[in-house]
Amino acid sequence: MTIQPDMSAWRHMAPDGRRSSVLPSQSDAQGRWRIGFAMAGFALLYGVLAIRLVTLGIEADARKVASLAPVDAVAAARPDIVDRNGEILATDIKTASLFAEPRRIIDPDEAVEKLTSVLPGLDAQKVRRQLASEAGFIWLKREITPRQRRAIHNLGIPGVGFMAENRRFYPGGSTASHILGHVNVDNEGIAGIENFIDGLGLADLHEAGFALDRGLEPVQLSVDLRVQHALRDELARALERYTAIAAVGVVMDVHTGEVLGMSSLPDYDPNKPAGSLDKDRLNRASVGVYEMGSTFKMFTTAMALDSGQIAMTDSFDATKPLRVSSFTISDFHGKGRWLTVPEIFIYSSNIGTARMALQVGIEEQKAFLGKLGLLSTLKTELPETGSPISPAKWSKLSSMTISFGHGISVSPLQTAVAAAALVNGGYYVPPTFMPRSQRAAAEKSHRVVKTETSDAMRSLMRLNVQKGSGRRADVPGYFVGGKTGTAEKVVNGRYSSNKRRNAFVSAFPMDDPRYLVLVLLDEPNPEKPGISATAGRNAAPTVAGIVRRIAPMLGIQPRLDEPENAMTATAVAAIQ
Amino acid sequence: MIRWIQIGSIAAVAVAALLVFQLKYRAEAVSERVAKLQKQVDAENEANSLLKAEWSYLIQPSRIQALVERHKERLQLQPMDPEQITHLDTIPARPVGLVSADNAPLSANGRNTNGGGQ
Repeated sequence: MTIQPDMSAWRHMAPDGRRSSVLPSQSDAQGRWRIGFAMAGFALLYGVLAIRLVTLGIEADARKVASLAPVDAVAAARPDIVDRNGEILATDIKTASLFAEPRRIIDPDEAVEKLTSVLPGLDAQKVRRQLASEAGFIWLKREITPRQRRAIHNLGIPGVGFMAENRRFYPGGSTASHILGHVNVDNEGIAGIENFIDGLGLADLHEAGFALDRGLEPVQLSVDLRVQHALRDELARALERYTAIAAVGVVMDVHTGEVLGMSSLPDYDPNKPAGSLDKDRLNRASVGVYEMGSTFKMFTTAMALDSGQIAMTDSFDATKPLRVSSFTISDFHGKGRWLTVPEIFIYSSNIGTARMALQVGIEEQKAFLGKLGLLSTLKTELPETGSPISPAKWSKLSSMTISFGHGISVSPLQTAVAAAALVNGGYYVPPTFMPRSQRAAAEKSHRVVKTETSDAMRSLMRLNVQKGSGRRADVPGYFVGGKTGTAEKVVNGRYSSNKRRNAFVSAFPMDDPRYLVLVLLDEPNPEKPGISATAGRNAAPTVAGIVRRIAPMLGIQPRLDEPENAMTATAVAAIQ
Repeated sequence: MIRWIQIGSIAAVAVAALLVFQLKYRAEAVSERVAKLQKQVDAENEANSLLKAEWSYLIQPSRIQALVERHKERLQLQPMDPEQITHLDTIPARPVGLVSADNAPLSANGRNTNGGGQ
């Protein structure tokens, strides 16, 4: 319409003389133009239709696909936790939970009748009342079995449905409870490694609404399930045999700092985490801090030898008890004579050890224990960790008592880590519950004692098992070496003579230690009346039992000939 | 001429539309199949993880130990002793020509695998 005036204007502009001949060609051109215009218009229209048709063809029917997609899980999925050999320690299993939408239920009585035929445990009265209400959504029963699910599904009750839920399952039950920790009802880790995993970013993912079902890489631990079981089993036996109130065990790789097993009895079943609330079931290995007693003599002896001030052949006066202010330091098995360093170690002389500590000096002792990580809180992947208790003012008396493990409280795991540094060639390797290569460990470690000091400590620890208080820890072929510790427990502010906390810290094979085993028994009693209940009588044989079982698993070749070395010869020569 | 072109193009449009719709339905069927298979994969994965959990429960050292303790007399089992472990080198060589009937198939088998390896 708007073009028309233009066109007539153009026509009038044409010369008059050629009008008759031009007119048909003019109208022809006009017609062609119009047709072309219409064709373009239709082409455009059809083009749009064609494009729309193609897009419709490509697009899938979203509704149809959505109905086939799996229902998202209610509780968040968690990665599996596996041990160093890939054995499952914790996994998610899908369970169905039954819910109802009372508003959509037609006949509550019929529904209740049908439901109770499959779930006899259901409270019929209560459910009838709930279903008759106008509520939008109620849980009828959480975690039903697949069979029950099928049966209810076949009943075909309207307004009743299932939702898939993830439930954490620990196949080993209480085997590794204190390492793994447990989760709450929403599948959030609230203790142990489970809590650590949440800290890695899983919790953030869940927060953002990703209940990731697939593609969660399993988390591998340094723990060896077989070692963990053997450790726990031997501790359980010791607990029974010596009627102790608690038992703690740690097995770790001295070179990489990997914890292969850690157990604290009594423990709990993470499948029923309510048991963890009991105060008696706390993780004594990393949370509990204790006076470790004579096992500390390892540290004092290493410090003395490493300072260069004291040689293996030096002797100290242990003829009579040592008096400091109002305290008297005496020996449990007093020899009443001068003792050499190896003698002090294997006879576990408090007097001799205190004298060695005094000679080295208070500041040096403090610095040395600090280097071994015994004065600061140990950091591992586990959120549960105890802070050591050391004297605020490090007096001469505290220096002397600390030299044999009294007046300072540290966790058993901390002690194990420090002891590992003395036997692995002199490196402090921070412990870990994650797999770690020797190279990665070397990057994280730092030297605390000289290689020669470490050699000397190995010899002394081996001698202690051959000739000293640790005789019952020996396992033929594996050259166990270690140090006993019998600490008197503090009862009502005083050291009690009949309540003890016994420890044995050991490593094997002693010529080139690979693994460290620590055992702590709380208030063990004599196996038979009449014999004593010192660490050599209960903690040491427990260690032997553990080593006998785990050494073959860990691939340590038993050897029948004791390897010779010069350091041991020196030490032996110094023993009368 | 124009008529033929028109008829031809109408036919082409019809065929094209037919093909497009066929393609669409095929694609839909395929995506349905994908979703179904995905669902099946999920179900299989779920069953798999359930079986894995069950298996790891069945091979728990504590369970195996209890079983062994119950049946050790019948099966004549006892804890291994360190002295029972040794290197292959320390075992004396078997005297030549002392092949018992029991060992014969085993050694023949060994030769076969050796041959295959070469």
